[in-house]
This record gives sequence, C-alpha cells and structure tokens, in this order.
Amino acid sequence: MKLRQTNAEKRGGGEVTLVLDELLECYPSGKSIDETLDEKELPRIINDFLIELPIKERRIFICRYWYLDSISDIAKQFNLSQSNIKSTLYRTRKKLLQRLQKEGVFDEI
Amino acid sequence: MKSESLLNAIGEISDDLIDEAKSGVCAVQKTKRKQISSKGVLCLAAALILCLTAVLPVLAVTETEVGYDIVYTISPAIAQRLKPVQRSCVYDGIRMKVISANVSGDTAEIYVSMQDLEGDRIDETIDLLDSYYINRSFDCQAGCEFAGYDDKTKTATFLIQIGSMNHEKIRGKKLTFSVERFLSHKRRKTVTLPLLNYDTVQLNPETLSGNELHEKYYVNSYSNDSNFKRNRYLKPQTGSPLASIDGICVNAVAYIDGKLHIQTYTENNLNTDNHCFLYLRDKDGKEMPCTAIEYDSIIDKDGNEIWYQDDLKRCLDYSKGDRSGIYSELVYDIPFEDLDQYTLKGKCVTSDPAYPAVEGNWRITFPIE
Repeated sequence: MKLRQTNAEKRGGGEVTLVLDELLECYPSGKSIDETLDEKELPRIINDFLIELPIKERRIFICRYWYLDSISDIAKQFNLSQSNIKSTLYRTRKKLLQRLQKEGVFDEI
Repeated sequence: MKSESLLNAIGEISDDLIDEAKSGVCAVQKTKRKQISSKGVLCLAAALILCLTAVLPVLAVTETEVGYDIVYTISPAIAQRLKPVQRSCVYDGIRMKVISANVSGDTAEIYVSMQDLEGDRIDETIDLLDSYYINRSFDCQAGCEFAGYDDKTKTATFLIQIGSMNHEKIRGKKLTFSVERFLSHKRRKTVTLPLLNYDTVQLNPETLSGNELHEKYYVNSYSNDSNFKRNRYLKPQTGSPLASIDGICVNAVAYIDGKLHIQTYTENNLNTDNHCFLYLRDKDGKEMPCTAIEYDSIIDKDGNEIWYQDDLKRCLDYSKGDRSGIYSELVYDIPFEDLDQYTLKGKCVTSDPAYPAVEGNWRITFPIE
C-alpha cells in the first residue's frame, strides 16, 4: 500500500522505536545486562552467535537490527513475504535470548 | 539501558557480516568451518573419505536430493563436481530445461525455461516466490529474473545471471538450479472506489490508540509519526467490507479527530501475492500525501486471533493460523466538508483463486558453457 513508499523514509525515525521494542524480547523478565561485563564481551557473543546462524537468517537479522531496514524493505530484498521475515526474526530473537542466557550476561534488576 | 545496550553491541557487528547482509556473498564460510562441531568434523571427514576412496557411492548419494543437499552443505565444490548433469526435468507435468548459456570470462547469462505440458498453470505473470535456489561451487553473485513468455507453447523463460567474485573463470563449472513453488495468473487492475461520500463515512467509529494497536497486534510499519502511539486509529473491523477487490477489502472510511482514515485488510497474504496501492487524488489529479500504519492479524478457523504468550508480551503465532492478513490504515488531512473533492483509487495486483500457487520440485544441473 502507500506504506511501501513511505517505508524508505522511516529509517532512523519510527523504525528505531520498533526495533528497540523488538530487541526487548531478547531480555528475560526482570533482568538486565550485567554492567560489569567487559564492553567487548557482548559484541563478541553477538558476532559468534551470528556466525553460527544460517546465512539467510543472519542476513535478515543484520538488515533489521544493524541497517534498521523496515520489514517490508527486507521482504522485498529477499523476495519473501513480510510474515516470513517476521517469523524468521522472531525465531532468531528467541535463539539470541537463549544464547545470552547461556553466556550469563544478565543480572537481576 | 536495556535494548540500547544490545543495540550498541549490534552496532559492533563485524564489517564482513554487514557487507554480507546486502551482498549475499557468504562471509563466514572459513570461520564457520573453524567452529564446526566435532560431529560436523566427523561428517566432513566421512564425506571427504568417501569422496577420495569411493567416488561411486558419493555419486550415488548426490543423485538423491537429500544426499546432494547434505553434501552441498558440507562442500559445495564436491557436491557440484559429483552431481550428474541433468539439463531438463519434468515434475507434475511441468518441464524445466536449460536453453542456452552465454559465458564471458567471469560472468555468465543462462536461460532456463519452464513449460506446462498438461495445462495452463504458467502464464506471463509467473512469480517463483523466492522458492528458487542457484547452487554452485564458487563464490559469486547470482540472481534469477523473469525474461519472457511464449503463449503458444505455454513456456516461461528465466534469466540466471552469474558473476564470479574473484574474477575466477566459471566456464565448465556446474550449476544446479531448482524451484519449489510458483504463482501465475496474477491480475493487475486500476480501480476507482466510490467510497468517499457522506453516506459511507463513519463519524463516530470505534477506535484504538496506536499504543493499543502496538500492544495487541504486530505493527510492522508506520509512517514517521512521533505521535503514533497517542494517535487514534480504527478498530480492526471484521464485518462486511465496503468494497472488495479479489480479497483486498476496504473495511471502513471514517473521520477521527478531523482526519480521514481508510482501513483495508488483505487476506491470506501468506499464500498469495495480493497487494494494492491505494491513493487519493484531488480534482486536478494531484496525489494527496498521507501517513499510514500496517499490522498483522492471524486467526484460526473460528475467527479467533492466535497469540503466543511470550515472556514479555503477546506475539502473533504465524505457525498456527488458518488465515492471516494485513490490516493497513491510510490517514489523510482532508476536511470533512471537502470530501467530495477527492477520488479514491487503487492499483491492485491479485492472484486468481482458481490458480493457487503450484508446488513441486524442479531441479536441473548443467555445466556452464
């Protein structure tokens, strides 16, 4: 719809809010990231996590959370339905949550 | 401090991965192999031993699709070397065939056809729905696009373009092209919707705030509007639509806080490529600017929304829905008294319900020469 045209204008605007909301799913309830964690540790964990993902899943994740592309732009880029992109991102976020918990990066709030 | 710290860490994703996201060229093959599990190492070793000591069994393995896929995952080079040449295949009465290839140094253009031998499931609107794969043993950029259609023979032609990444010569190397799904018989139409009249427009509609929509539905995009969460929108409507264009419904036209809202619902978007670009024109033919939101709905066979209870919030469960759709709402800053000065139009692409997506397994392998 008209949205498809306006999406291109959204990067850095409303999309950031949506992206931040989505990333909250990577936190377990009542916990926050351990502030004593070495500042290089979290990027290392995320890079390792991404390297182990299937390439398409990794690319979609980076398009969304690094490039801040809209869902419809990613769907267009990968020629997949928006629902497909969203369910892929949802699964990846769940995996990331599990990985971050396994790596012990969270503290009780 | 919560999501921001994660976002900051994501900001430090390695450059290789960032480049890969847009280029599609795998950046972690070597790294990935380093981190392969002990089980993976054993599989790789087994595959290599098989390759070195018993070519015929591996050849047999690559003749089965599952075997080929496994070997391709471990080593594209081995899989492609052993994959038998099969320049055409027929599945469910539809033939896929390589027609020609033009190789020039490190680039190649290959034409592949798909022909319906039994019916008219293929036409000039064919869309492979991203179900195609181009397997090769070398680093390259590859893409496939529709090239043409011959009505007499019911044959669609696709162009596969390959470009080697390292100026590596690709002549003689084998390529496997496969397709799992396609959709044809799409219809394109421009419609005028006579809905902007004072009888149709609701003046006191049921509404939800953007925040309520955000909590209840998966809002996947909205225009750059800082007041999105506070603004009010039409409650998602499920009754008879005001107008329907092959499954794309205009549910309601209403005024909220002095602005014109138009709500649409596109059904079954998981299995069709239905979409419509709605726009409003004034008397001079000028297209009017608008803001818009879009959010998802997944419902079961009884019409109930399907939700997944997450730790933090409810999410739509895409895997369990019987029907899915996208709600969209356009918002125009047009005074109520000027409504009759405008025309609502739509450019729509819809699929024919008599021709649902065709699923199958078409796969050909051929040397690039």
